[in-house]
Amino acid sequence: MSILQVKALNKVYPGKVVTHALTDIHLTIEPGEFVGIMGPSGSGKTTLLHMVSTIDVPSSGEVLINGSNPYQLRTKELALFRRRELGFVFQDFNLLDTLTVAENIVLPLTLDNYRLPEMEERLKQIAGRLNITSILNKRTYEISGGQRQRTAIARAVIAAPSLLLADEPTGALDSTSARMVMESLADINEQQGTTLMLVTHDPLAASYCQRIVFIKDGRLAGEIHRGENRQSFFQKIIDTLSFWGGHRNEFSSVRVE
Amino acid sequence: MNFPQFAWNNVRRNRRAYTAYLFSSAFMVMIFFTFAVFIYHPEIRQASMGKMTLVSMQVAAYVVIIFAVFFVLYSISAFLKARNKEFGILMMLGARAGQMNGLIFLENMIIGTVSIVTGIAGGLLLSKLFLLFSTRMIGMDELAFYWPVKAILLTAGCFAALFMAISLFTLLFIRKSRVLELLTGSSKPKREPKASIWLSLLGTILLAVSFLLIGKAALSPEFLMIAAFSGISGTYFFYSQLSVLLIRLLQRNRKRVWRGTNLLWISEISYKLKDNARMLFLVTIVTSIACISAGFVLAVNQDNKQQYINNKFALSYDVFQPKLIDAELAVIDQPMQEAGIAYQRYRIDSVLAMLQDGVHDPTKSSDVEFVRASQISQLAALLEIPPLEPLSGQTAVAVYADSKRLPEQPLKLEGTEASITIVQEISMRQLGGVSEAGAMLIVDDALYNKLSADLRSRPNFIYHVPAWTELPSRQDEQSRIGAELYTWNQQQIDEYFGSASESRNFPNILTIRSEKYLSTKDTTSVFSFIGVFIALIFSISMASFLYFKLYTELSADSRTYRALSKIGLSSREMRAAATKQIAFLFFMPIPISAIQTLVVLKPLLGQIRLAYFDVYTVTFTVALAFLAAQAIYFIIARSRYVRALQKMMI
Repeated sequence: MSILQVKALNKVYPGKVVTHALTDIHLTIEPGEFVGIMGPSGSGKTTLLHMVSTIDVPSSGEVLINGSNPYQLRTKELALFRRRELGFVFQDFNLLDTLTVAENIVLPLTLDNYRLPEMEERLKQIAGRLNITSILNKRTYEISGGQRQRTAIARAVIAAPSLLLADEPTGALDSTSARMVMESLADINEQQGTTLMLVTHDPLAASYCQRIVFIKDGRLAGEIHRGENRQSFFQKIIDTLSFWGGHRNEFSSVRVE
Repeated sequence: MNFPQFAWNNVRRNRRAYTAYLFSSAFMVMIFFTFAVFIYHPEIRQASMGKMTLVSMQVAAYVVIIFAVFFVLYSISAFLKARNKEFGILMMLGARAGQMNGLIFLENMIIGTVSIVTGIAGGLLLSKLFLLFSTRMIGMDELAFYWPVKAILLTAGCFAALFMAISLFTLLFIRKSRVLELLTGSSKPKREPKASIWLSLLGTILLAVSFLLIGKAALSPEFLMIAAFSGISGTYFFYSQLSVLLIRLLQRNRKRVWRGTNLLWISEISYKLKDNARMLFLVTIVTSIACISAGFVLAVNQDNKQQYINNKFALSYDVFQPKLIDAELAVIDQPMQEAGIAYQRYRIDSVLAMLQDGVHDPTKSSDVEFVRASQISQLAALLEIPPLEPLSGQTAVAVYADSKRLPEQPLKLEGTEASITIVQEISMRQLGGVSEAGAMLIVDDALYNKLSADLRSRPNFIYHVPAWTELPSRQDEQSRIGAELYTWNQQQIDEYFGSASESRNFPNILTIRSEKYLSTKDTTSVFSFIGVFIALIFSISMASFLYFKLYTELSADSRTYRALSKIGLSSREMRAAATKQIAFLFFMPIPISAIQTLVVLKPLLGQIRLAYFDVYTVTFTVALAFLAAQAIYFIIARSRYVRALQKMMI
């Protein structure tokens, strides 16, 4: 069964000027896939992410995660659903300054009242995988941007979600940190089999995906698959973006919420 | 748009941000104004009772204005900090320092003016209620509402000066900050609150020292000062250091903290504690002082009531001038006979004696009063005295008022050869009002006559009035007759000392139970009124300050909670975490104050020999009242805060 099924999704923002943010989107993500969503600013990729992450409600169409429709859940169940089925990684990390790195990571588990030994075991494992064991007792302002994002990734995957959603995870990072973060995500995808959906502007970050879906003006615009070579995939992404009519200098810009 | 218009629009359009600040300032003005209305009330100025009230009220007014200074200063610094970004933008746009200062000054003056006007307007409404309530409590006649010109001028003047001074003062706050700091100011992550082990230890020691000192039986003024000083500074360290340290220690306990929403609110609270340490400290001290004074007043009141109830006799006529007995008894009896009130008069002869080599042991009595068994037996039913042992020429039955006991061996007395053995002990609170000595010894007539040959025997007439067992009120017959007799007796006494013929002796003294009760009650009610009022002000201002603080942190908090709700924090969990945090801040000072009150009141009340009260009941009554008031503010603040956060939840 697919992890994510998006069928005939439409999103219209009503108002004086009606905005068709998304029109007739179909998207299926299979277990273990690493899918990138790309598109220029205002293309609707963030709106799509919001629909998938149950933060916003579609105007029509259907979103199925693991076969269930989260929009039929009540508010309280929806929070639980997000906590257990979905993992989030944001551009601005969204870590709590008041907590240590370790506490930030285990936060979703404490909310679900996991047993302490279990939490510690998972923390140890995930911190080891993401190479942040040495900073577990630090505060978020004492560590680098890349470390913060890896902390956020650890928090997102510690509850073993069905789908990990990453929204411009490299947007606020320098190139070295960005590479480490993308390698961590790819590693988690390969080693743990976590399904990933990545929304990005950055062709370099996108080149870590197995498949990239392009969106332009709220419609699906195309899809490319990665072969063996990441380098050639990167070139393919650049070519596709140019082909779909973007401007090169658009891609490196950082989206600000 | 010129500059004042810009300032005006800034306040007007940004209403939401200014509301909390405006409210708390207006509230302070209102309280102060209400006070001033009372102080300058023309009828208060004349009333005899008013003098005492007036002085206390004036002191209270000073306290309010001092607190207002702190309060407005805290509020404004918190408020300005929250607006750092705005100032940064203005500076980036090229606003000169002078223009910024002008803006802040103008804004403050606008808010100051608005709060003075609304505060006085609100105060006018409130003062009617306040006058009614206060006079009820003090037991005066109702005060008429008047047009308080003087109070308005005073309030407006004081607060205009205060706002002016503070507006100038706050300019120092932002002057030194750089644009970048201002722009990123509020979003910069806060440093982890640090607590020094040594300072925490110092705080613990200071608290321990003050508790130990107060616990000691004999308390000299110097010790009292040291105890107060170390207690107050210890409380400060408690909030700024010890509490932070304790929470950090708690955070090490993963088993407790890594559970549910604990992780969220416990870490959050250590920041809030450190941020609000000074405020919490101030509030705790003030609450403690209010609790102690209110507790003290309550204890005195309770004791007063108990004294009335324990005393079985409405009137007690101590005779020092035997030749006046018949004439004066007639005067005393007259009003009761006229009113047709049944009464019983008893004659009790007594001999006051001191124990030889008077044992200066505070647990032992050194003065004793001898009474005749034959006379006391008339009171047996009334005082519920158990049957007495048969008495011989050397034995006595001892009646004790409290826990003090006479020595076991046969008693030797000053000025007489008699040696007396106690054969029976009876406990009777206040000796039923028969005597005021530490212990009363009932002896047979033979022994009494022998004693009265050596020492002076003095008659005492006590009146039992069955109709007057209930506590008197100002208007009833008991207090009317009591007041009448009191005036008469005072005149007698004045005349006696006026003639000064027998300067070494005493006039006859009439003690009136209802008069004694009412006069103590009047004094305490003034104090309790002031105490309760000040306590109320402080608890309300603390609540509004905390609310204000919460409000300024709301934008940062709502960002946090929005992010958390994205990763699956449910609204219920958000409410739980936020509620626990707010509750902690609101209620923390109360148990601390209760402990401090208990520690202070227990020995203090013991020292001034208030025998008939329970210190725990008193403390908990006051603490509960505070808790109730605080709970109301808590519910309001919480619901508003949570509602604001709820909007940010997904």
